[in-house]
Amino acid sequence: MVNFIIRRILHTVPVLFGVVVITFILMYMIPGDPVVSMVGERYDEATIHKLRKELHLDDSLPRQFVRYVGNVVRGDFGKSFITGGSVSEELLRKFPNTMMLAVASMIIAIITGLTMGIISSLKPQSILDKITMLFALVGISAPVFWVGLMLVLFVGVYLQWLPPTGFGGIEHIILPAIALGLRSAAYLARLTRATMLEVLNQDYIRTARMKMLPEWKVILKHGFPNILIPIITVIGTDFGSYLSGAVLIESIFGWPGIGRYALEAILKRDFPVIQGTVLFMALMFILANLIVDIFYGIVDPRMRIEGKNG
Amino acid sequence: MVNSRTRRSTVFSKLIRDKSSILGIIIIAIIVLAGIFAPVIAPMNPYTQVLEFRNQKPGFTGDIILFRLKPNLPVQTIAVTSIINTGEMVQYQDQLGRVFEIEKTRLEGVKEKDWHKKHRYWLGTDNFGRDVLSRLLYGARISLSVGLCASTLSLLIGIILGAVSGYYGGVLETFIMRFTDIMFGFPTLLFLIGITAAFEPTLTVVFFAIGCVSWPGMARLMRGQVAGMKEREFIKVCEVLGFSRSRILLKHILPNCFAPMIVTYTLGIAGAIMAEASLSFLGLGAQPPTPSWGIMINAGKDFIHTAPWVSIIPGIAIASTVIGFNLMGDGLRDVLDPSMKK
Amino acid sequence: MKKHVLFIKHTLIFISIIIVGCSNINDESRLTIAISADIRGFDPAMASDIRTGEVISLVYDHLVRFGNGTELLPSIAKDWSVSEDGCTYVFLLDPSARFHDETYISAQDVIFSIKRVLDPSGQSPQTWLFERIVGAKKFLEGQTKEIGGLEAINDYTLRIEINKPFAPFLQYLAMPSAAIVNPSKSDKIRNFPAGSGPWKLDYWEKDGELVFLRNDDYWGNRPKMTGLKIRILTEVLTRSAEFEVGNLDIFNIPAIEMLQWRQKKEWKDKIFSIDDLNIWYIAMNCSRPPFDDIRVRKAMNLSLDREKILKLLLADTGILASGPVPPLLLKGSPPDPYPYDPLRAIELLKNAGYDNGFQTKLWAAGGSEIFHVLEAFQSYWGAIGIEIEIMRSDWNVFKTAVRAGRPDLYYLDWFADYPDGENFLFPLFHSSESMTKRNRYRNPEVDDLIERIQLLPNSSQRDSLIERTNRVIFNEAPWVFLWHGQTNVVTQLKITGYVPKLIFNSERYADIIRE
Repeated sequence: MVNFIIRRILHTVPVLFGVVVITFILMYMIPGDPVVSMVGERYDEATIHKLRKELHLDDSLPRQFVRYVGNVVRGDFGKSFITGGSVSEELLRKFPNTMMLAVASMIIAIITGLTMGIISSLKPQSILDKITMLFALVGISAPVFWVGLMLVLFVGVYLQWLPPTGFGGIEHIILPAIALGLRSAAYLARLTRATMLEVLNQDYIRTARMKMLPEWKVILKHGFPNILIPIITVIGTDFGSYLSGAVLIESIFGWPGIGRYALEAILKRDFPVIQGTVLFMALMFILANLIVDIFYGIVDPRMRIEGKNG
Repeated sequence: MVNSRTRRSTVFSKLIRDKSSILGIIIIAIIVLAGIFAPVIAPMNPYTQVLEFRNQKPGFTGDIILFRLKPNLPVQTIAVTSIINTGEMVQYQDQLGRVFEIEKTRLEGVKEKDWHKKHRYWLGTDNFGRDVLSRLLYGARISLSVGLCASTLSLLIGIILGAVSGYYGGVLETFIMRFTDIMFGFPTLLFLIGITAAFEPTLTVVFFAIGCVSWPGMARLMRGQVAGMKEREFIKVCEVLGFSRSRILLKHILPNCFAPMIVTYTLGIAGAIMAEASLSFLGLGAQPPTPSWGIMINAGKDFIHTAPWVSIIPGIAIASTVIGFNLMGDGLRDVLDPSMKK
Repeated sequence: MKKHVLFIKHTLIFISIIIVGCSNINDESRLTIAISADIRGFDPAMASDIRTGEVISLVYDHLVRFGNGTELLPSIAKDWSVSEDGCTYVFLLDPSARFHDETYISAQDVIFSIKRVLDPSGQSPQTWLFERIVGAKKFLEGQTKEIGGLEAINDYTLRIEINKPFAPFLQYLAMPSAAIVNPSKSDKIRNFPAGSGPWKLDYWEKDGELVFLRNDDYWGNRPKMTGLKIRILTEVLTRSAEFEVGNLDIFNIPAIEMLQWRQKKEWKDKIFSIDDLNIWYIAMNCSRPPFDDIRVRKAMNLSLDREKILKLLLADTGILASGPVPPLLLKGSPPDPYPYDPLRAIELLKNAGYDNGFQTKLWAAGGSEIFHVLEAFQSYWGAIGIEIEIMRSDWNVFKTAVRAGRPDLYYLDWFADYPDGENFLFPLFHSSESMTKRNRYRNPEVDDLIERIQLLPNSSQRDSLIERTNRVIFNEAPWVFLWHGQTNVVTQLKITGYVPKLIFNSERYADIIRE
């Protein structure tokens, strides 16, 4: 068991390294001189030259890369070109915001998605089923940024039930969480329904029913646990992608998370921030997947054997 | 081995029987036709701006005249409040109260009803007084073409990498699969944003970027399929018979993986359309004044108080298109390979 | 470690907000405003952008400051004199002026502040403010440790000598980067101000908010409110909504929202307008075709219906420009702006040999709101056969490209550093600036006029030279002159005492009060 976990963890290291390399290479393909944005309208060659030296921008690429990796391992993600502030500090400050949004979205997604899916699976082909599945279809097809915008418009501007955008207490988190969680909810609904239908046809369910167990016990005790594996996978992967920052939603709602931080950095060519955030996000995403994998290993011993090729 | 022709016809007939797949096909057909025939059906040029008519509700009618400043220049559309016909010239007053004169020879047509119209904007206008309906129709072209090109590109990359790694195995497989893992671990949207921001944000870069980012799913799928196929008896027979590996791969293995391929492809088109819309929304895809649906939503968001239809309508269009492809993809999956249900 | 603490802190805040409810801490005597992005820091030497400059002026003082309009008022310097030749300034400092730590401000402190900006190892982008001081250049190059032109005659008397007479020099001293810094508190200056101003920094939550407390012992005009909170809200929609709900006291209305706001009856009396000292323009690269031909440049000006765009798209928040200098800074009246005459534009193009039009690229930087005007330009120029492709990029890329002279066209604005016509002429059209940093415009006549303006003291001769130069540039059309902007601000009904200011860093929120 421990072996399995260690193997999985080791498996992620080259992936992370690969991410760092690719990001680094991409950075240097981007045109635009970041030093220019650090100074104002009036500056001269001497200032630029000095700054470039300080930031080691004139060193060879491999050397810059080695220096970067060395720093990263020590937890130093460098300093933003624009604000001069520490990237790792900013990430740690903004990450809780993303985490809050991710948790809220996931709660909404799980509650709505699972409920819809289970209810649908109990009465397949009924009107309720058709409506729920239609809703789910729209949920996975509507562009997430448009859904966000529609929520801002209808709930925030027209009905004025909640503040349209901005960061703050619970009233500010509801709309972005719904917008973000909707897609996962829809996906989960479809998945739950499909898996539940499969499971409900199994022999052990029929046995439980023949034993005259109450229906809710049949579903919850015997049916539900067996659909956990695919559902947890989806929850895990989706949560991972939320943790790596929901760029579009954070932008629209002005949510100060790492997704928006990364987007603005890319648009401003703030190299250290871009590298830091992408690395951080990949880390989060990989971590989430790792946890899902380990969970698999605990729940389904068969997976452990295949661990090597995962 | 299954005869592919009979297989295709039973697939088709099964597909038609499923109601939701039909709906999906119909939706896609409507949008494709809208895109192809946009130049013919669109009531107005999607680029024509009439500032006086900005942000008007669907159904709005405006009084306009049409003329050209020079024969080879595009048609001008001007909102007018009054017209005076004076022999050689036509005097018109614009909504700002200014009076202009123009020679009759420059007018777009001889009879007054040709150059002086009350135009009805069925879906309203955007911030520049452009016809939303016309832009919607032209937008279909962009979404569909980028969606198709990008998913085709990722299909190709995915198939090649997946099949090669699944069949040849060994170091090649490990290397490719590791690379796939890295791509999976990358936050996709961010990667797309980075690429399009790094190079010039044009539709070509967008389709390329989306193609280069969406292949991991297809690659993993193909590898699994090919690796499974590799163990089948008839393949082993081919190997024993001395067929070249590449021939086995191309002519015997791949055709049998057709089913999951096409399902993933169809669903991939939906994803590519979404990705293009997202990038255009962020300003990193098609550039104004191109009427991409994503751009329309973005432009409309600053006027969401006064002209919400500008953002609402293209979103419905995107959702419908994606629904169409999803329905078709689901239908195909149900028919071709029920075991693929995740 | 830090990560856990921060997370716990945020979770606790989250929970407490749920418990307490959606109530806001509505401190009656605190003013809350918003800005659209965070500042760069509290170091005046690095204050090269407007936002940072505005905040700097809240916590620091200067030798002189601007009033509501263009008038210069005493601040730390309670009086001053200029020599006959215009090169020597003597300032008498206010003996009651004190830093936040109660120490008195002396002439040596002023010298310290100026030397800070000129320090070669500090890499300040604002050295241009003080380069005219005798000995400054040598100091900047690291050759000397002292600046000859700066002398503390005694603790309260300061002499500054510049190498050539320059009328706007006094105004330079009111600019954000000329703030007087407390030498003993300047080590952590980026994150915490070393100032003397009417406000003291309480805390700065990056990308969140800046909270200030009134300096109760302020030696100057003490603010009436006791607190000031500046929230950093990037989305216009958020700022607008927060204002309407009552969480912001003052809201800067963007042009695209003006129409809606004018229709809101309840705010009618609380909308304040002021014409900005700025100019919006599209610069044309004058060093190569097609814009090296003056006919083409005039055609570009004649084929844009600016009146319509200003009225309809920008809700009339501006004045059409006919030259770079805003009318407020011209003593006489400016020329009539270029009319909308597309047929004449086509003729000019034909004469210049562009009968079939041409294609070119227009560079711009900023948020997506810039397209709300640029697409209209595209349409007008397309109507006469000039195809414009909009190259939107971020400020970095944009600035580098403009400096390198790459764009054929670029869209930009220029805000006055100080209220003097010369500020709209030298940095923009003198060949030493334009050929190296801007649109490659060179006209020896204009160079000569500008140089003469710079040497003259404030006089009617100087004023008429400014007007004349403005006219020459208007006729040469190195730019498409768009408009001079307007700032519109709305305040809550209970807020009184708000007067919009002309110069961006003269607002100190001192006279505002909530009833």
